[in-house]
Amino acid sequence: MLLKVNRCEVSLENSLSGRNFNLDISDFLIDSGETIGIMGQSGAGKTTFARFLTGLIKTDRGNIEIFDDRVSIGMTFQYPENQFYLNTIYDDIIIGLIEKGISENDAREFANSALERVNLNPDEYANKNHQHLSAGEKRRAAIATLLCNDYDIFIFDEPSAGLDGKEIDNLISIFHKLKQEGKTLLIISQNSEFISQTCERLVVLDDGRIEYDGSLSKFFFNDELAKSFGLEIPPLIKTQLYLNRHFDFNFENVIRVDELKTILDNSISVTISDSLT
Amino acid sequence: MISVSELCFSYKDLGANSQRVINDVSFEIEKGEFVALIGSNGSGKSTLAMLLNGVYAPESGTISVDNFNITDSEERLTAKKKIAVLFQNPSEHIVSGSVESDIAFSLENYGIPPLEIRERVDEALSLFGLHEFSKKHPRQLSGGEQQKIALAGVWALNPNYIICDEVTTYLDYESRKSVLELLKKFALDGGGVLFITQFPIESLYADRLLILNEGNIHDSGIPSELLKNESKMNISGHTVPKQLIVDELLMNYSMGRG
Repeated sequence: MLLKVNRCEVSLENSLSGRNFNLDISDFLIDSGETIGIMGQSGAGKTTFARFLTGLIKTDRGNIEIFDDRVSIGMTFQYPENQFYLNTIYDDIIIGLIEKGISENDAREFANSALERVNLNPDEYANKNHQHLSAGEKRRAAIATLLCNDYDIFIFDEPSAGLDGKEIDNLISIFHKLKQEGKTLLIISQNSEFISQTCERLVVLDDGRIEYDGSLSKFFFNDELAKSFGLEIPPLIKTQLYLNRHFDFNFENVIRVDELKTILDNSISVTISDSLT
Repeated sequence: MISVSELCFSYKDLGANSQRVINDVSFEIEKGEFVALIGSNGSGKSTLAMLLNGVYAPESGTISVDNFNITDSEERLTAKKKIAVLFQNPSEHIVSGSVESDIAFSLENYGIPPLEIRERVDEALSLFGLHEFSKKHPRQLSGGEQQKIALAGVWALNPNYIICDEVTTYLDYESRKSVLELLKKFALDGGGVLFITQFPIESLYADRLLILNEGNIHDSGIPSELLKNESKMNISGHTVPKQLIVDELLMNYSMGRG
């Protein structure tokens, strides 16, 4: 086990009239190597919870138990432009590394390889100012900043926002690789298709509380449950559910499109050979 | 009609380098038309939105809005009042201390009478489900809620055309659907929409889809047809949406099973 949130109670006070927001979470455990998707409607408290986990906001009541003093957490923000403030992307990436005592040469190497991982050619992008990058490029540069560090827990707040389809696919493979390396991932996203391809555990927040915490497959294969939270059922799972209902299938796990195609092709050939014998 | 003709634009670096981002772009958006636009990261989508809003001046080419030229100093203001642009990061829109004053901000600047401002703000608040937040500071709300405030502010301006630059990025599923339906309604009521999106599947709401590639309009066509075309989707930086792939798998399977 990496950490346990015994209690997290955050109340965002509002001097004007209107609804106050309260985040109230207790007994939330994170195990090593988990991939956790955090979903919920706008305003459910996803970003606030992530900021609590990284220590960026103090709670009114609550504490986190960390089971190993060396556990480190890194986070990318919902708006990547908020995390760049130096002259070049390169400076922004290496500053954290240098502060940790890494030599500039090593930091440069880490920065270059991280930029390459997110498909930003270092020769072209390292010396640019973040203002000269498109939204998707900024997002990828922010992710590169995080990838340079050997964190135990990576928190990504809307990592696929603003990315085109090919870059989302690349991000999915980066996340799979981080998981293989034993890293723990917490991914906040509104994109259920993206979450279903990257996470095994799903946490659904609603009005500051955890309303679901468990297997991602179990959640989405219970389509009434997913609908009750206003979450989109990923298209592939929707199709699997249709096949369960109208044909002789019993899908209960997330698969890839090519796997579904093979299963359906095999099923058709079995049906045809049945009818011939 | 918005008419964009032979538009070119380059970003000038501090050095001598300049990078051509929009390269000979021409297209039109009719009143009542909902046009979607997709393209890979860095293909020039947001730059195009900035040009249409008159924030950037084109290097060459013209943009006219109902025959008013946005680059002409005398016609510029009239042209700009007809177009409202929504950017992908809602915090770029937020200027006031409460949700309702934020929605009213542009109306005040356009010199609309106070009573009418109140009416338009109330209408926008209820249309976007923001009444309960009306007195709140926008910065206390989530990213998705801020995007709705920005949209409500644009809506209240009552423009002829709305340009949306990836506005659904931070919205939850239900809000995405309701925003798309509102924009569809805006077009059906005679407004024109240019909807730039990172989710190709959303273009199924549109009448027409444009694919921007390296600063140039590579394709223009019926969304459902372009979305199924693997090579064209590749050029747009995307792949054929999973929804369409699995729909086809399902159809073939049903037919195969007889």
